[in-house]
Parts: sequence; C-alpha cells; structure tokens
Amino acid sequence: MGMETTTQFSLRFEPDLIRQIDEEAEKEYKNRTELIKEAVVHFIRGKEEKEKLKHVAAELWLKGEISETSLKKALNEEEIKDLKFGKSWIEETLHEIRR
Amino acid sequence: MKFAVDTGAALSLALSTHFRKIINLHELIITETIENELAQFAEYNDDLGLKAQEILKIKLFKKQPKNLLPLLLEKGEIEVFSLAWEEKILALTDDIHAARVVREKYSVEVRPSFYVFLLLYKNKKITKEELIIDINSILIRRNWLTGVLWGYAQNLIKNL
Repeated sequence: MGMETTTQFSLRFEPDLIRQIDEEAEKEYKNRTELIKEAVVHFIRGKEEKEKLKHVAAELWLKGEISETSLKKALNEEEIKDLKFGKSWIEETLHEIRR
Repeated sequence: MKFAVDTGAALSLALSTHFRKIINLHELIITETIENELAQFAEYNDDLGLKAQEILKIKLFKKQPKNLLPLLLEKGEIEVFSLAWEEKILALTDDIHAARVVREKYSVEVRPSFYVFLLLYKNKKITKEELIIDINSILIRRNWLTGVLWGYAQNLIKNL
C-alpha cells in the first residue's frame, strides 16, 4: 500500500474552543490534529450513512417496492419533489432519444 | 449542437472516455462563474481536480447572459440557465433540484449531462456498451439523489 500524502493548512478557532479541543485530546491521548481529524471524519461518515439510507429508500420507491408513505420516513418534502421530477425528467430524455 | 453547461455537467462529460469526441462534435459554452468554479476544482490534484484542469486547458467557449433569470439557485446555475434561455440552446446540468426549479418557472430546455452520451449512441458514434461505461464513469462523483436516478436511467438504457 502506498503512503498517503497529507497537506498542511492552518485553522483559526476561538481560544475557548482550542482549550476544549486540548482537554478532549488529552483525555483521549491524542494531539490536536488527531482529535480534529477524527471529529471531521466522524461528521462526514455520519452524513454518508444518512445519505445511504436516502439512496436505498429512493431506489426501493423507484422499483415500486415501497410506498410514498414509507419514502417520507427517509426523505423530506423537497427531496421527494426532486426525486419525482428526476424520474420523469429521465423518462422524457430517453423518450426523446427513442423517437 | 450548442450546450450551456454548468460545472457538474462539464466534469461529468470530462470523466467520460469520449470527452474529446464530444467537444469535436458539440459546442460546450460556459460562463464566468462556471470557469471560476472549475478553477476551484482544479486547485486539487484528485480525479475531479485533474478533470477540471483538463477542461480549463481546452478553453471552452465562454459567454455571459445579458440578463439573469430571477431564480433561487446558485449563481453558476442561474447564469447557465439564463444563457440557455437567451440563446435558445439546451442547458446541461446534473443538479436535479436546479433543473426542477428552472423548469417550474421557465420553459428552458434542460437535460442531464448523459444526454450528450445518448446523442453519441443515437448517432452511432458509440455502442450501447460504451454508453453504459460512460454513464458508470460519471456515477463516481454523484450525490445520493443523482446516483439513484442515474442508476435508474442506466436500467432503462439497457432496454433501449
């Protein structure tokens, strides 16, 4: 496995937050960079998990395997509108190509 | 054909193995904001950054719309849709929400980026297998909504 390269950049935080970061880092036996990196990765993974759920729900709805009521448990109103629009937009586009 | 393209669509087309063929056959027009967005992508040396660098090297035709349509969208999308509206050309975007918003208010002709691959297929410039590969190549950078819908499109395309 090749070594991953890293890029250095600076961050600007309020002194209170820096103190909290340092306190948490000490408790976790980590340095500032490790703690911040872990928090960011955790945030991104959490978002990805939520999006995965939306993806699965939308896919099942497109296949006719779940109802709109079930879809509403995973997607908000705007997302449902976008999904429905997207479905008919794709169908229109393909219809145009078939002509 | 002439297309007004946003950043996402430009990157999608550049991800295809037939990008050179596309720019030889069609005129892709970008706006100032889209060029700036591509320049931001080009600052990174990841896959998308490298594609953005490739697009910027080609120097696509650049044009600004005379007027901007009053839409609650990002500046790049507004410019692209306004340009398509004024020039009476197709706009290409992979932003489904933006496409819905503009279609609800104006009769701007908007298509997803893979429409260009479909044209290549229709005009027998690529095979169906190549068409499916091209759509797969753009799936790598999709958000959940576009990902699921492009997957849906792929299934329909298999039966074309």
